[in-house]
Amino acid sequence: MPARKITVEYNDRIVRQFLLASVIWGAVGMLVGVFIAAELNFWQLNANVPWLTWSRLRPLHTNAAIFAFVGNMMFAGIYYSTQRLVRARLASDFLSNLHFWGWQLIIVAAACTLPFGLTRGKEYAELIWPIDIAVAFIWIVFAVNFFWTLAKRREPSLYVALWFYIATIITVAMLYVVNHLSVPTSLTHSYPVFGGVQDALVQWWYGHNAVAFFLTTPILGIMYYFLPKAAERPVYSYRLSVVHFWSLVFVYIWAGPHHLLNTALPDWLQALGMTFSLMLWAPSWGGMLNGLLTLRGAWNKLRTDPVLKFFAAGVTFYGMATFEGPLLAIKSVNALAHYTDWVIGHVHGGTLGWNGFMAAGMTYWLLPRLWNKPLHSVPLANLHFWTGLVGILLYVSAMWTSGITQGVMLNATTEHGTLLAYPNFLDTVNAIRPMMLMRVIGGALYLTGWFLLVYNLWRTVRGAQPVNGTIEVFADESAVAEPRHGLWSGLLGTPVVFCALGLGFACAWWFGRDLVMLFGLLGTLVCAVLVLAHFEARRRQWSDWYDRLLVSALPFTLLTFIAVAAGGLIQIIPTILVDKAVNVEDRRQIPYTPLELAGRDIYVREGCYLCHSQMIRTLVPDVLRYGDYSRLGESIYDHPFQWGSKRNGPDLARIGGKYPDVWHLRHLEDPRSISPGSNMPAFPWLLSNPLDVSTLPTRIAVQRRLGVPYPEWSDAQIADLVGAQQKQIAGGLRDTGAYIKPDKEIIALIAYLQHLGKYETVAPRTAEARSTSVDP
Amino acid sequence: MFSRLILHHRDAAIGIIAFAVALSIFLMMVWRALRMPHAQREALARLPFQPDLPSRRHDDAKTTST
Repeated sequence: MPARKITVEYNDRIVRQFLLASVIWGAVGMLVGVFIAAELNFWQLNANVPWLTWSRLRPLHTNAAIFAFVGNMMFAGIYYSTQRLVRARLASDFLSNLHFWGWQLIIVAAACTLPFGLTRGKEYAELIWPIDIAVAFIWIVFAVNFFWTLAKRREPSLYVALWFYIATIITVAMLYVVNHLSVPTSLTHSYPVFGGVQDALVQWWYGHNAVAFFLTTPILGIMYYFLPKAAERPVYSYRLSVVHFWSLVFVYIWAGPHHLLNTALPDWLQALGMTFSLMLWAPSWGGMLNGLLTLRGAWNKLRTDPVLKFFAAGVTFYGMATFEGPLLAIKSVNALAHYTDWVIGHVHGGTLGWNGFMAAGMTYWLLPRLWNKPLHSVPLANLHFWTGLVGILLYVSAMWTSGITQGVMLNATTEHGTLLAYPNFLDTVNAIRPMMLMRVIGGALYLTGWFLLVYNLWRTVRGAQPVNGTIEVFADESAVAEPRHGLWSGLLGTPVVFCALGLGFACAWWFGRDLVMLFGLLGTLVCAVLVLAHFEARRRQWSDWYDRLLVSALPFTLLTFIAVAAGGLIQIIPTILVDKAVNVEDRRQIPYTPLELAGRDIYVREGCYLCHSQMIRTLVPDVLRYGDYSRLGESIYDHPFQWGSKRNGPDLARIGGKYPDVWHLRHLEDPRSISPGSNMPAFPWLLSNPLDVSTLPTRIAVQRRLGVPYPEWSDAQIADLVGAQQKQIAGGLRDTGAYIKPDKEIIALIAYLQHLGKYETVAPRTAEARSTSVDP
Repeated sequence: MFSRLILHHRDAAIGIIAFAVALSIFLMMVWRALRMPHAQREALARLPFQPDLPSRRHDDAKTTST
């Protein structure tokens, strides 16, 4: 019987929806970004309205840029390219629609909660727990829809873009779930299960890899599909793209600790983070060159084609950002750059230059194809490119200058190295004011370019007929043309078995003692010899296993998952399993009183950690400026940790007791009355808002469950403790002429700030003492 | 068994060993990629260029209009 041909219609409706959502949310996210950049110059812009304040809006900006703008763009690109690469329609229209509307609902929920101070207090992980559950659920919907489509594919081979999508889906799921593990105290509040250094490590394992696997790998997949299509020639080197994929998957996941260099994080983790960050140079540049060289012979098209312009510039920004990232991860460079605007310039080079330009290029390429109508105006798209390029260059150059100026000034000492050259933090703020203004101008230009895209899109789409792609296939065509692995044959292939054996023996060698260590060492050596012997004898078997793996989605996915999980587990498990109250060097944090805990929650709600760190690094200028360096144990009970990542203002780790209560009151009421020239917003509502103590017993109970050594207080005891401390602080303020009712939020916040830096001295248990003690 | 990790100096070796493990796996993948047959590479690189009817229609329209 002759084969019958049928026409398969792709689900391009969902692509159009995600594309439009990306363009709209991109405009919103960038608009908020320009506004908060302006607030750093003109503090009055918040009009004393809490939800317009910089620290409340900053999470909205970052979440909108990452999850709303890039997220929607990524879904559009993945759904468009996957259907064509596997020659099959998306598996389920229902799941596609659920994915789209669920994701938009999450974005709206985020926009309705973050400005009102409903936050978890962890960067890029601020969303409250019910929204987190929704994110996890919708991500699963996305994963099911994607892998189901792969299972239905008619093309047996998995193009490298699909590999990047697979790595994205599984890694983001793992990162998101682990970093968002929390115990709720109410419908809108929770405490993360990790605290102190553990929380810091988990947070930046997540934070760094959110950049890697949410903002990079899916966009690389998009690059490997759309760039060859736009240039009308295959990727320069498919081999290089494979090497690019594996090296990113193996290396990226380890690099998170470079966000915590020179801090209280154990040194071996810092060394690990720095080493793997430096290793990222090679694959990232390999990928960038592969992208740029794909344009070989097509460079002349850049003169007129805005799509290729955006792609070429986007890939170049990828190269620039991935050169800068490892550079910033070098400990000595990081000592200068961390907590400064340099890092802000770096991430915007990545987000606006790499993600933003790739999004624009993809949008301009897709618009005519999804609506079957030529782009309304190519010159307008070219104008968008040049406006955006000038904007982003102004932005990043201003931030580089600003960051280096800040770093140099904050680290400068007199010639003997015993005194700070610029002891007043505000000296640096005033020095970088022109650059902060330049940032607003650069950001506004970039936003203007984006509005040109919005207009161009609207004119193109208006009156156009949306069209879905179709493809003709044989009715009985199936992808099982090439032999594939089943799940177990893929997982239990010879290379994997040897790998697992080798790792098992190596673990016994690293972590065991005496005979176990010797057994592990011998086992590792024997394993290595056996691998070589087996490979020589069964070379064909090894080759077949690898070739089949490339067309077997499930084992490939699981092996990729193991690769990315290993890097995280080796870093995180040790710090989770150790007895945290013992491994604290010489100091241990004193738990907060109930009122101080309530004040801390206000500190988190207002987003103070976004401008003030609580981590004095092991660097002379830090110690000269802020006091003795922070010990690992001094934040051991902090859920969430508040080490911060940026110093728009000074560090607060030892602010407690440095100034009287009335100083904090006046400073929060009107920062300029204490620090003339400060750009910190005023927080007058803290003086009028009554403190909500109704959930304090629950919060303390949750803290106790998480390991904070609180006694078994009754609700009445907690109320008594709160009342007594409130009266004490309010009384002290009254004595200095400041009349504040004891039940106001400001009293709790002052109590918290005055606690910072308090610790008890403990005798550290050394490794030697430990090894002689009897472990249960 | 992880009790020594934070305080013991020998823990620096973990970074080196982890590096060696990741590097060896990575080298295996690179080696496989470099040995990929030319025909297979070409076929894989051409996967994005399978015909897609509406996009062809659009391209034709663009060609005729110019």
